[in-house]
Amino acid sequence: MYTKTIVNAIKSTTVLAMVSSLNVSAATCDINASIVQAHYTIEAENTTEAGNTLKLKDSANNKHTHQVKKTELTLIRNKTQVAYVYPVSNVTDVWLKYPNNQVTLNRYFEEQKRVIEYQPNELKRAVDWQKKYQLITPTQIKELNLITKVGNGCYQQEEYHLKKDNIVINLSWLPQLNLVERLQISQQGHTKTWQLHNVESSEDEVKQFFAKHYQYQSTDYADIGDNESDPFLVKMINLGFVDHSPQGFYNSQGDNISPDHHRH
Amino acid sequence: MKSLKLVSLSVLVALTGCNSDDGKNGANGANGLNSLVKQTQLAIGNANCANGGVQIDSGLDNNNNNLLDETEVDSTQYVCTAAVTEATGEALIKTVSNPWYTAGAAQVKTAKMQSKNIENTRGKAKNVILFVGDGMGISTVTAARILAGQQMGKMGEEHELSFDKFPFTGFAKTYNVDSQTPDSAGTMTAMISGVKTDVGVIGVSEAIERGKCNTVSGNELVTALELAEIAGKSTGVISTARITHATPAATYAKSADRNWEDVSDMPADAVTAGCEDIASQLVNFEANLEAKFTGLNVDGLEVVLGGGRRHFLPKDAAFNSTDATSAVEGDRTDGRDLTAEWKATYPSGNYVMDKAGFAALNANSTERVFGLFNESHMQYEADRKNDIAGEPSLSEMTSKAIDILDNNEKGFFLTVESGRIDHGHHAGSAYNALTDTIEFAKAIEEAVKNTNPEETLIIVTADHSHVFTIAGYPKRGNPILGKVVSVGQTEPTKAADGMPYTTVGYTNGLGFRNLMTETDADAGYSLPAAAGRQDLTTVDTTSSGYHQEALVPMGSETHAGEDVGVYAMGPGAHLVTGTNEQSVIFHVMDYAGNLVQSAEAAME
Repeated sequence: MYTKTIVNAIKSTTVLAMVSSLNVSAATCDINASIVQAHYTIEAENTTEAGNTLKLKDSANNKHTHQVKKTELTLIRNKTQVAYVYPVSNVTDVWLKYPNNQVTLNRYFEEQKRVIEYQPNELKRAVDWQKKYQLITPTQIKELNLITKVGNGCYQQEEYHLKKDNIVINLSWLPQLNLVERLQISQQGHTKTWQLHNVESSEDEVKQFFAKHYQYQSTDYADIGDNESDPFLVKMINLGFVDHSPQGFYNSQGDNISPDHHRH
Repeated sequence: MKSLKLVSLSVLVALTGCNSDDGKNGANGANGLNSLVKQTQLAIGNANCANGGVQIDSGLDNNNNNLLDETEVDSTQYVCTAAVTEATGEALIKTVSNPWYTAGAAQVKTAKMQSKNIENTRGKAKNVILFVGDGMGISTVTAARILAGQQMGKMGEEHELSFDKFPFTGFAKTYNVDSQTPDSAGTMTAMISGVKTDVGVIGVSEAIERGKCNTVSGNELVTALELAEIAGKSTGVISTARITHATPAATYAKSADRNWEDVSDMPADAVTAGCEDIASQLVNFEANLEAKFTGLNVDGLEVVLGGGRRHFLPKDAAFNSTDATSAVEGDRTDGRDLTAEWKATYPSGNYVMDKAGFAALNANSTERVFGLFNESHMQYEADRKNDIAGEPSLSEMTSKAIDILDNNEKGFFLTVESGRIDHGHHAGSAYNALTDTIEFAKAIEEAVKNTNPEETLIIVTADHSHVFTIAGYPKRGNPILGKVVSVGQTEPTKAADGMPYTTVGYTNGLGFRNLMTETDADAGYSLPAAAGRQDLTTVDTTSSGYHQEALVPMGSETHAGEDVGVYAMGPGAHLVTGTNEQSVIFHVMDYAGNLVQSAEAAME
């Protein structure tokens, strides 16, 4: 469910400092939470100790090692579509919810202006739409302990905490926007933190974003294998998706430590 | 040993008697020797009697011991048991009563009868149906056969798919003119036009340059579907892929590139140069054919069923169908709604886009139907239940199509493609490839049931194969999608790396995926190819979400270059036998249906 990184105390900033272009009243929020852009910084920390098979140990000094990776993520919602923009890898994943509640993926390669379109049955079965929509599902939030509520309207913020087994979770949640303000998950030397630093509520910008991507040249995933003459697709055929993985986030051992990547 | 004492010759002479008066008795002579005869049974395999028998020794008992000693044998004769000339007798009962034996003997009798009934006369096939399983190589057929049998509770290997029962079989060499391992475009062009051509081109000869519009003109080929149309037969095209995809497109379109499915897929200079996209050629089939041949008057395709709606609609959300999954369903950038153009051309035709519309068609009163059941490809058979608006199955489409087409007294020509066997293999999913093959076999069964075998040629084949293998030494009846369990064993066999392995697998591709247990939301195919071995001990490899291991890591599994099977029944079916170029299939259909001559006669 959660990735695991070292516990690290990160002070949460207030909603007022992060959010721009808000139009709020004292008790209500007139931002359309289903059409919004949210900009995150994601930080992944690994601290390993002696005996850990994943260690990056300096054997000469017998020290613990510490590795921090940062990346940016922009989450853009447009009702039944949510885009994950990864500036680092220049790939955008757009998750779509069908009328029958099936979820599928269109993967956009920004440099080439190409998109690979998947069918729901070509994805891993249990795609959780809520998790894609808002990073953490309502069910997962219910498992946490509500500590406090502050603010109102769009500013309303709920603080949650959970410590269970070896996992520590701290969540600052914006219920009116259905957005994570800050989420930190720590377990056994691994800590991952999503920090919201900007929200944009312009519906026009969101629609322009999606309209621009609709113009990209699309290929069904099912058709990749039959397109050995297309240089872009033949690279996919020959090299797989390693080079084009949106999670261009690998440690020195080649392990993927990108957002949303889960090791088993 | 039997001995026989013979009386002396003197006694014999005395017993014969003489007719003259008796003379005086002479002196007694010396006692003679006894003759002895000895019989010895000979076993089967004896050097003198291969089937056994009796050895008869005879001689005089020189030493008067009443035994025919070896040195006393004067003569040896053999009476041998006759050789078996027919299957009778205890020795052969076990063989001839064995079910395999009796079944084989019956099969030969059937084959002899069928060879006597070969219809060698040209033009006896009023109807011709070409079934193409895209990517359905021999290993796919074998594995699907076993899976189908196992799904029915049998061991599987002995099962027969519908076309396994066809009387005549051959092989087709699938290579394209410029490619050892082919693609669907060049191969289907070969089958339907009688001319092998390059990879990736539709309905044109090898003289063209792929992607170059200005090389098309003058190199267009004529297809069996077009000839049938000219000859006055009813015509139809069905596919579970997009109806503009390579295999169905080769029946009605000419294109320098298989990917020019609609105008937005074409380079601007190709559009400017006058090349027409494939979807447009479909709705303009009648007009284009009439333009090719002066004075020709045809009535167009009666049945078109498949996916690919997006290539017929403008890129405008206002044209979205009720089951559109994309925000903007259509792809066309020329503003044309080809479904509307089709309806305008054929006002009494039926345009349908979902299962309900399809089910409502009355075959007796339907003059023509244009069905587009999905934005892109239709669903895998295993996933069809998940379609938003519902889709007919391939067997339902085939049955309905025949019911519509056979209203024509001159007969019909129909091509049916199971287009997604290929996609299942490209994704490394044997489950999807094989379940689509099983549905394909059901569609063929519908054709067999709903046509007159004396006047209908049915050919079943594949355009090319895939790198899909059936390996190891699994015991009889072992689940075909399962791990290898050897004869006499109950636990999976381990490879040299100490891990179990599946019977079926791929030489290349994405490799291992187990999509049934993952709860993560990552796209299955966004992960790098996981080639090589995985520990399958706790994995259910028979599940629909399991993707087999692959050796060579690639983002998509590839086609294979070996020959494919050609299975046929009906008039002219015997002509598929042997190992032939894939283009020969056209000539078999032409001979059986007399397509070329009938078309020429119609144009006179």
